[in-house]
Amino acid sequence: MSDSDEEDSAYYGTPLEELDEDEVRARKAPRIEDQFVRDKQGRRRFHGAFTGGFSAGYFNSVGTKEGWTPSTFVSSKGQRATNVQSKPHDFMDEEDMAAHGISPQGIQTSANFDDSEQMKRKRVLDPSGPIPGTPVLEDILRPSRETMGMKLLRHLGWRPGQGVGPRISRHQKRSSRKEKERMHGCQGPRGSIEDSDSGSEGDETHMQDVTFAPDDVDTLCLTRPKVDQFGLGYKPLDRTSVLGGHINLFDPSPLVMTEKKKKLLIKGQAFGVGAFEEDDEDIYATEDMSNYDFGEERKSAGQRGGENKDQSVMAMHGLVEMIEGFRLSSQPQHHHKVYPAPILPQDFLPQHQPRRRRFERKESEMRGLGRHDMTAEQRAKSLVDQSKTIVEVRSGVKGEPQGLSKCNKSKSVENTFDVDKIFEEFKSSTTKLGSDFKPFAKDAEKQRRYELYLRMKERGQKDRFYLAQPKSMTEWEREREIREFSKAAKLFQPLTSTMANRFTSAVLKDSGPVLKDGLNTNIPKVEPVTDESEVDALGHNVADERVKAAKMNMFGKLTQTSVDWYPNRLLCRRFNVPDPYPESSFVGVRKSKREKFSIFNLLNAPVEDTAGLQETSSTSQEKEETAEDENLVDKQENFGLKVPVDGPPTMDLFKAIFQDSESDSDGDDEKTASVKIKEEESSSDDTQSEKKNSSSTKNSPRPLNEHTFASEMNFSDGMFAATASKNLETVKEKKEDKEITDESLAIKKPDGQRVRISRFEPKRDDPTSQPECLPKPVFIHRRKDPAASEVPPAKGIFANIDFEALNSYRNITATSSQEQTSSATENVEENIGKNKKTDSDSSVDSEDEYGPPVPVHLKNRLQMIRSAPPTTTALVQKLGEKQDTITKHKSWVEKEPKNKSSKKHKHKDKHKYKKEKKKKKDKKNKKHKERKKKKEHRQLNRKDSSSSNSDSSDSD
Amino acid sequence: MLAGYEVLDARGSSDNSLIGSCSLDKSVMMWNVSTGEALRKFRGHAARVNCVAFNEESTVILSGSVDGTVRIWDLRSRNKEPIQVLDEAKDAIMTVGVSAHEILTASLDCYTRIYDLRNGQLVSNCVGESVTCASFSGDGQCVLTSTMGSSVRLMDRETGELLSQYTGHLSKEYKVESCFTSSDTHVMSGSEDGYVYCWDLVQASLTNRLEHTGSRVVHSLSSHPSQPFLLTASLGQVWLWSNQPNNTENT
Repeated sequence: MSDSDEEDSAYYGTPLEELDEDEVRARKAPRIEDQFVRDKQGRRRFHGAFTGGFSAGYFNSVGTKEGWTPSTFVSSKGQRATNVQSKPHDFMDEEDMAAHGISPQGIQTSANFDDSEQMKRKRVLDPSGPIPGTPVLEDILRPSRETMGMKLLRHLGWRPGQGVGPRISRHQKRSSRKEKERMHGCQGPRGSIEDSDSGSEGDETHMQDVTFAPDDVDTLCLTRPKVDQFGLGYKPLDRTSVLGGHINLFDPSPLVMTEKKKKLLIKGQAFGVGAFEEDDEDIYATEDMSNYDFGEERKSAGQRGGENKDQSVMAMHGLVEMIEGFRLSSQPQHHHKVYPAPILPQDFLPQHQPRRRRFERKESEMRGLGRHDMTAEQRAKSLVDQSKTIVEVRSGVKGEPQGLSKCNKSKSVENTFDVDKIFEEFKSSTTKLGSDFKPFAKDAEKQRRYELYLRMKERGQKDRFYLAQPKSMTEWEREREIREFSKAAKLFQPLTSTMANRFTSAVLKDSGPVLKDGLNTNIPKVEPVTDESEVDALGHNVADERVKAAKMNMFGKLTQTSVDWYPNRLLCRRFNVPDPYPESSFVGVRKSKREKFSIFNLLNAPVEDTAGLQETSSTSQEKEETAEDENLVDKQENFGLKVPVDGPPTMDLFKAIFQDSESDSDGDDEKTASVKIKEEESSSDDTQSEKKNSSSTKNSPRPLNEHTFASEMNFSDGMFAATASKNLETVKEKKEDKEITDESLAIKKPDGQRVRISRFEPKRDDPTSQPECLPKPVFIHRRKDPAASEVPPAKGIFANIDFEALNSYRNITATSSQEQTSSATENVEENIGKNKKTDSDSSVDSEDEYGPPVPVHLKNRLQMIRSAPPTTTALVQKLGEKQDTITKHKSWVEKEPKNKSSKKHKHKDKHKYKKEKKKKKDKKNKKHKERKKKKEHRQLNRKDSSSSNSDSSDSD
Repeated sequence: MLAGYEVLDARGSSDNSLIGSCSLDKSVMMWNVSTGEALRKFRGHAARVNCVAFNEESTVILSGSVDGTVRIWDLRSRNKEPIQVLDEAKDAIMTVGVSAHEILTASLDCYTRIYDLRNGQLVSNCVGESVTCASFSGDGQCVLTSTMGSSVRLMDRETGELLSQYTGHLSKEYKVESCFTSSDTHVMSGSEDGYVYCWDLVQASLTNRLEHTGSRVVHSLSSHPSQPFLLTASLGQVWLWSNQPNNTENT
């Protein structure tokens, strides 16, 4: 090449840089596997399918090398944690922030000058889709910015909306349009075309030489592919656009950390750009309703021409609009024939009637023709003419020979007469039936029989009950009924007083249990029953007085009572009222009065005012005693300490009884150790409170026992009276006796009710309760002694049970049996020393407390006690020595034989107090003189004696 | 639609969004007024529930039962247990009334009891006869008590003294209600002879008798809180009375 050549040639464009040959050689074409897709920042975002796919963070993970660490809540004294509101850019990459206008962090080319778009990969189009070619939307949605090609075309004279190509004449254009129309059929877009050449037919000749730009390539307007899952023809509106609001991504509101449930709640659209997304900008574009066409004009536009003929057909079928892409079928659809609903029966109720009870039979379930509703008796009557014999066999009465029970009419009449007689006989029974409960109220006859049964049972003539049963009953039915009755009688027997206290008694008595309907309360006007629970100090019934006052219309102070009421704190808050007792957590009314008669407060009631057990029968022994002491007015006064006539016992009395025990308890401990064990074993059948009692027994003062043992007695049988009279013969110190009885005059309860003075007195649970001499148990409210209240409460289901009260009936039996024991003691005295029993035997004895009475067994025990073997231990020997004191002491005891019998632990106590008795006997005279003094002085006496007791124990 | 048992009483809440009802099945039900669906069911009474009452803000509902207790149920929480049980009555509770800070109960044990939340006091008044209905007067100073002895008494709320007594009607068998008129000038009471008796409050003179033709017992009545209207219920019928003549409606 010559230089002139170079000069002649002209250069267009910029020459490529000359490449260094070495570089060219060194650079190899990159292999496919080495080519990576990188984002704007040059970061590798795509991996192979097997190496992780798309990755957004650190090696397919998030965050940093350490992984994503959740923020921890740290709050210290110095640095209080503040409520951090998360912002969107906390969760965004830096480049995205810049794109969304958050604090641009670097210089960036503006979109107009940014040509990086050209490097964007084109979406790979799937040619096998429903519509070949470019997606329809791509043509519709053009980028607002002009591409370079458009710019060039503009320069060439192209206008938007025109086609590209050589200009054509009008005729050509029309023919080409017609052809296009033929191709697309009726569904082609034709609006714009027809608009442009409508009414231009006339001046065709004028425009021969005018050429037109060809039509633009038609946008393919086929049926849109169905991409959603809505029903055909349904065009849902975009929810966000319906709401119409601009979604402000950068407000803190879309991203809310709800504090309560610690749940990250992200509202709004998801952000981020997909890999093949055309551009970021449109994602957050807001749409408004104008983008959608509602309205009828489109329908009218679309349903022109050929479709008009379908209109009539559609109207015929009741259709309004043809769904796009569908057309009416030529064959009419086959219609199913509709049959009329069956006619419902007249009495049909379209209502489900549920069963109230599980075993209730529906009416429809009643079997047969109603013959099953008849009782056996009714059936027998209906059958009596036809088959008498069959009925007879079935209804054969127990105890009656088959021949006798021939069921003719006269006989049956006679029978019913008999039955009536029986009813009459027992109806006259004055005893009220135990309970008003009517377990067989449904069947009046049965209830009647049940009541008869109860009355018969009361009189012990249960065996005759079968006579009252209807003849029609079979033997099996009779037996079953009797069994049923006995069960019911057991179940519904009258409540004992302790149990009855758990229920509220009616204020007004119901006269009849007739309940007509819901509103009819049917409460008759009856004088209010006296309310036992409200008795004032004078013994008057307060409630009664109130009612009286109300009847006299003396309303006001007489009828009004006001007590403190503690409302629940929450209730106060609900009522918008300040809590009247903010310091108290108690709720309700303090129920001191009401609880007085509850079974539960027997657990913690003090010992004072103890009623104990009532005497149920006076004995001949008592009579004898009264005969002896003529100056005694009341025979009850014969026995030990009495409560003063004027009012309840004073505290001094109880102090005297219970306080001085402490002084000699120390000295006694060692000696009474074995006794204690026995006692505790014997009391193992009872509750903890019982145990406490036994332990308190051991500490109780010696001298007191002698005149407090028998503050109340129960002689229920003549056999004890005999023993007692025998004892009376051995009375030696009559003078002393009188002193005692005089003394006893001083302490008496006003109502003649005996007071249980000694705590351990009624506690005797002697195993030798003899059923044949059981006195009728009488329940009396009795307060527990304070010692028992200190006992840790029983756990579990026994927590609320007053065992003392429940066992009170046993105490009575124990008392009576103790009588026997004491009498046995007399008899067996000569056998002292014969039997060598160990302590363990005695414990076994006491464990047998629930067994039947075994007299031999008793004897053995008594012998054991009396002849406590001197060989076993020193301790026992000491006790053995005490036997002498008992025999010596007996003279005093025998004067009041009931004293002896009143104690359950008497024998054990004998061991315990033997020593003291010995000492005490010496001081007896002195003591009795002192007793004559006032009651207040008794305490001093006790202290004297107790001190002497302690002295004696010390000397031992 | 409602409970499967006889509904004995129903009240609407102060915002008219709730209805509380009580029925023979020992339960108290809460109903949504707008939808008619049952919202809650309170169980705990040992017998049928005679009456219900909302407090002023309708935050609690009180129910009085034949078991002698008034149970106060919380409507603000999901607690199924009553807030408090007022078990001082010894017989069935017939009516429960609530004022701003007081709870008034009428019981068959002849007592009306006023539980004063503000002072923490329970004031019980013996009426001498079984009380079937008790209500506060508009000013809260008086208590109107109906008893089984066919008398309606107006008692002083503070002292319990008898202010006035209204007789003439018949109430021996049913739970017959009484009420004040909206202006507190008259006292109304149902009766078992098919009339509603209307007495002058002060003079205690019978001013009017509203005849319910064809009805034997008019057991329930309620006056409009502000206007001179009276709603009465007899067997199977509800009557609306107004002071304008010829304006009686019968449903």
